[in-house]
Amino acid sequence: MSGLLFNVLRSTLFAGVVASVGLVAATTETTSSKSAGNQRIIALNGSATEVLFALGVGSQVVGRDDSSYFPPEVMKIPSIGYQYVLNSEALLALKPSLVVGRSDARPESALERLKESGARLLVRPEPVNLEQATDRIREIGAAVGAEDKAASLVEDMNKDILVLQKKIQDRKASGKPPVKAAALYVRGTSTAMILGNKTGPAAMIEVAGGLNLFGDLESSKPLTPESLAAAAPEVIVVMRGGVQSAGGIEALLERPDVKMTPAGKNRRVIVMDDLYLGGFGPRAAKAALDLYKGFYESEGIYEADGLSTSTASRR
Amino acid sequence: MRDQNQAYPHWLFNRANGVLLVSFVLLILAVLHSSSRGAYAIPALKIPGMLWNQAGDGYEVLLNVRLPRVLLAIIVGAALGLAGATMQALFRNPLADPGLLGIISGASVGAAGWMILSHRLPDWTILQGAWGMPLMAFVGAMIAMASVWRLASAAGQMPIAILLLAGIAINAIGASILGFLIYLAEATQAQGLIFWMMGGLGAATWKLCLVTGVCFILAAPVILSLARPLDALVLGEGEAYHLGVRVERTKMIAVIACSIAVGGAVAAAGGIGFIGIVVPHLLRIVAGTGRHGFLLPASALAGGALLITADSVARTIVVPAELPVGIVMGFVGGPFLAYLLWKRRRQLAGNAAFAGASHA
Repeated sequence: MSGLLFNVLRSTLFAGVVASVGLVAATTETTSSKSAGNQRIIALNGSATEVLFALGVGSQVVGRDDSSYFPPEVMKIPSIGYQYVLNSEALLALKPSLVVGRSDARPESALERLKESGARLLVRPEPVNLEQATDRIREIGAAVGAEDKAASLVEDMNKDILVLQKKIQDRKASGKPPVKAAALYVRGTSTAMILGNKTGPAAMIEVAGGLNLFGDLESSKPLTPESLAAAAPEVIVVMRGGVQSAGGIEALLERPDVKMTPAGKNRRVIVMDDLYLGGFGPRAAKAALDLYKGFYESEGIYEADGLSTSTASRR
Repeated sequence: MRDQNQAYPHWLFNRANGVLLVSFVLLILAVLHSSSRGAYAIPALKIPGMLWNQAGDGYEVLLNVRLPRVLLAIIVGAALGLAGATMQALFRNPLADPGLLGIISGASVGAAGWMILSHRLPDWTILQGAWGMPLMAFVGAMIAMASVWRLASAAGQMPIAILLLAGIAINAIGASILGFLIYLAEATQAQGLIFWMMGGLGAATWKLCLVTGVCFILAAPVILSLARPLDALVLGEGEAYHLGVRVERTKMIAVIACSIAVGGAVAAAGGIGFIGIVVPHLLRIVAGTGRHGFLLPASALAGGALLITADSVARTIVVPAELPVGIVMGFVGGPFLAYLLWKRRRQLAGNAAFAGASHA
């Protein structure tokens, strides 16, 4: 499409083209010190955006979806809406050269159009363990010519992963059973949703050495309140966004179905930022360590949002 | 039809009373059965002992999760059954139903609007507390009902086709506003809203029972006291006037009371359709009369029994998840509505008169 337009332009407006070619050349020069610099990248979900910024190519991101909010400077990038209601035309207007996101972005036709426009599509299933998370960082790093930065990010993550694995193994060796946990999405006083094990937060439970009581459930479903009481979780894991809108942790603990679980009685709730807990981005290993700490090394309510200093535990 | 003549033999009154009694017994049976079923295993025979001793494994689940839910199902089912029976008299139309005419849709818009936008509303206690949602649902229901009424009235008549088309229009408007609210909501909030719209009693607490119960208690006695005027209204507004009914006043009170009942029900449980149409019709068929002194209380009792039963299916069939109870009702009510249309198609095509059993 844009190639055709370009040809038409060239044949009719020679002088203008000379100027624009000059401009392209100039901008290419400033950022092309690395092999694949000067991309126009669209990030279709929050963790893709986070990875790109961690790789130091945030300035090449020309569009992000509404689930992107970390690091804070991503909010300056124009939003392309929500990843499940993509608008082909709005995406094409950004003239992307690379599109990073998850493979269940919708509609599929929007992804097809992007592919036809010549953009490189890097859409993959969302990672649900740390190995897949580091693989994705390497893959995105290679696509934007930031292999070195990706390698050092992964190296940092691997240090944390080793620490986590050691902790989990030591705990297992001591014969203590894993903590029984449930990941919920709560909102107001209405029915809570059980997060299925294909979702980041639920997957993170197992990664951090806990036992996901609703591990059989693949997709998220509305919870029947009695089954939470029947499952009797020792810890309830929730995301910050939902809890805030539900009136805070105290309101959550007042729900009758939560109140009568061991977690409710002992006020064992772990609240973590949505993207930090479930994004499986560059902070995934830290998040898993935080969740482990929430499971085994803290009492009462444990909150962690993955922002350098706001990790705190309180009773 | 069983009785085309207006005069009832004496035994028919007994039959209606019999159906009323059966509805009551069914409600009690539904309560007992539903109280003994759930994701948390509690042996039915231990329940009386647990309640007596106020202890035992699962006592808290029974007391704070299951029983409020059963009570909420009674209130919501009764409110919707009662509203359905009243609206059929009010609109002189067998297909008048809070769902089909868009009243549930209107109430849903009010309630969903409150859910998404309450933090932007003025900081009045009445809007921000537990009453905010039922109040907004009531306002939505009122607006929808008044709109249907205005749209469908043609020279003092309310032809059935026009009435249903008005319902379609109101439902369409409601659906677009709900869609827009979903669009405004963030992703997970939107998902929750979609499930809420399909109807569910999962939010049941004693407090919610109280709020919904107050709405019902405001509406039900008023509606029940209108039994005789509604009987007259079914014959036509002119006839009702000559029988000494204050027509406009009756209609207005009935509309407000129905809106309170539907508003409270929707705020508590979302959009649950078909109860208002299935229950009164079954009762008319079984009892052979549509006399409102019988139909109104029976619709409330049987509506409660039906929703309790539907909800115990909804909350036990896919444990640990649950099915929206509106979907369970849809599976029952949709085919029933189709059956009703098939059976009455000649009458419905022929005239706008009140099909079904005649009214005294």
